[in-house]
Amino acid sequence: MQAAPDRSALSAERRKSFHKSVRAAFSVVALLAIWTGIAAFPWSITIPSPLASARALLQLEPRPLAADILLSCRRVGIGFLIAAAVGIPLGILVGYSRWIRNLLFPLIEVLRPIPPIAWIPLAILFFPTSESMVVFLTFLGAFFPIVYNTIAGFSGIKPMYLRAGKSLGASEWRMFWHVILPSMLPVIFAGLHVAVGISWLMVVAGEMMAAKGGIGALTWEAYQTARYPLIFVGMALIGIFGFLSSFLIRIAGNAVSKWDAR
Amino acid sequence: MRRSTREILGNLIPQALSLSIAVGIWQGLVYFEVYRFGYVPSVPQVVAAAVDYIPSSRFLHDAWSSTYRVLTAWLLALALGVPLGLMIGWKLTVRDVVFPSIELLRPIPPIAWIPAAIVFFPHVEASVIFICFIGAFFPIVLNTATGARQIEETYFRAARCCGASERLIFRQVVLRGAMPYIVIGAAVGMGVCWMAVVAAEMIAGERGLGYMIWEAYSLAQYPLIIVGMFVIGALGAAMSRLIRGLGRSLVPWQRN
Repeated sequence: MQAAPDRSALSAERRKSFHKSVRAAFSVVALLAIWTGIAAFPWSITIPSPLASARALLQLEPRPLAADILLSCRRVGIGFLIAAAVGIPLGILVGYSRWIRNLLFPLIEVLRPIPPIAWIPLAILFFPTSESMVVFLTFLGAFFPIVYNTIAGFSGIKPMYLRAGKSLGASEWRMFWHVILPSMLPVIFAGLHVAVGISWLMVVAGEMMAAKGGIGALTWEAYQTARYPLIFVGMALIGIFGFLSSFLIRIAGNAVSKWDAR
Repeated sequence: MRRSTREILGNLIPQALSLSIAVGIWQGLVYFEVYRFGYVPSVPQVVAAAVDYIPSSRFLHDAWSSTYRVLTAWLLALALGVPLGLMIGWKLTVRDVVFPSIELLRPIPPIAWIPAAIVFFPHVEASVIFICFIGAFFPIVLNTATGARQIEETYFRAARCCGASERLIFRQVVLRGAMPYIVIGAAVGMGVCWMAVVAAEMIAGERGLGYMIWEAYSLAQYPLIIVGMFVIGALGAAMSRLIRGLGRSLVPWQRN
């Protein structure tokens, strides 16, 4: 895209962003067209079109739908907050003390490669209610990325900052609040961003396999009762709310670390 | 850099201690049936189940089924995702047209595709591979695109000055320049693939390690669940390590 030389830079900029939005609109329309095309093809099984899925959404009663959405959001929220409340201090402790690092790091390294999904049977076995089981799953999904990024954030602090703080006579406490924590925040928030996505994945998995209610269960029931358009409604809802939560985390991250806003 | 024996021992002893303490706590909780730990298999039970399961042909069969599905899906995702990602990062028009669609689909986790995949694919095998593909595809595309975007403009100018064709630029500048990021995307994609295969096999599997732990749960062979979890973790970690090793040989100019 070349800007015409006789126009002002501003209008070139405007034209550029106009082109961009036209292309974005084209992109979305093309996606829907491809989906419609696939649905219109005479497969042995009928694939719902975008239109059929939209109709299925409109036919849902709003009250139970809102209840399902709230339930999933609550499960993600609680598990995620517990993971942050435990994981961030733990990561900081691991960074501070070699003893704690030696004590906890091997355990974290052994457990981390196990995908959180593989914990589901054990979690069903252990927890007395399906509610506590799902919250444990969302916690588990969020926990490892949070701890890991917090540790990485700690070891990524530039030694220069620490020396500068020390030579200005900062106490341990001031060092932590004014040097260490602020320089860790962007990395911690990157971890939270990953974590909230995995929490959503876990809530869907938990609801599909074991728990009652929530968007995951809605999608799974749509499959079991052969209301196929509803499957796509469930997927879209999961996508939208997963996106919204990572968006919120990004806004929060930018608010607390303004110097690193992205 | 060579570390002294004392330093290594100084880290190794507390680390070994840490794992033994953790195993001890687990066994203690189960033995004294603290809270609901009475339901959890004990350490000797899990060891016995592992000794029974791991040398069996069933283990090989399960592990191979999962590995085969993961590898197929991962290679498919690489074959589609890398060229697409390179084009997205390289050409502004492609980015504007393709990226919004990808951003629309990306927030849907692979797990959420499971019901749709079961319904719309004729074979379980195809639906499991599709779900793993979805898991690996997005990290590969996004990392590749980021990699192609961060290539310095100077490289392109230098190539054009030397009279390189678009094709040659694509191969020599875009592909090579993005390679470190492609390796990262491939490794992340492999991790997500393992998670997706476990989920898909638990729900739809017929066979494989994910199916194995779900079956162990339904047949109340609880120690086998924990054996399965560790086997899945170990295989996944081995696979990621393999990719990182291969990746390092692809980008010899990068340290770390």
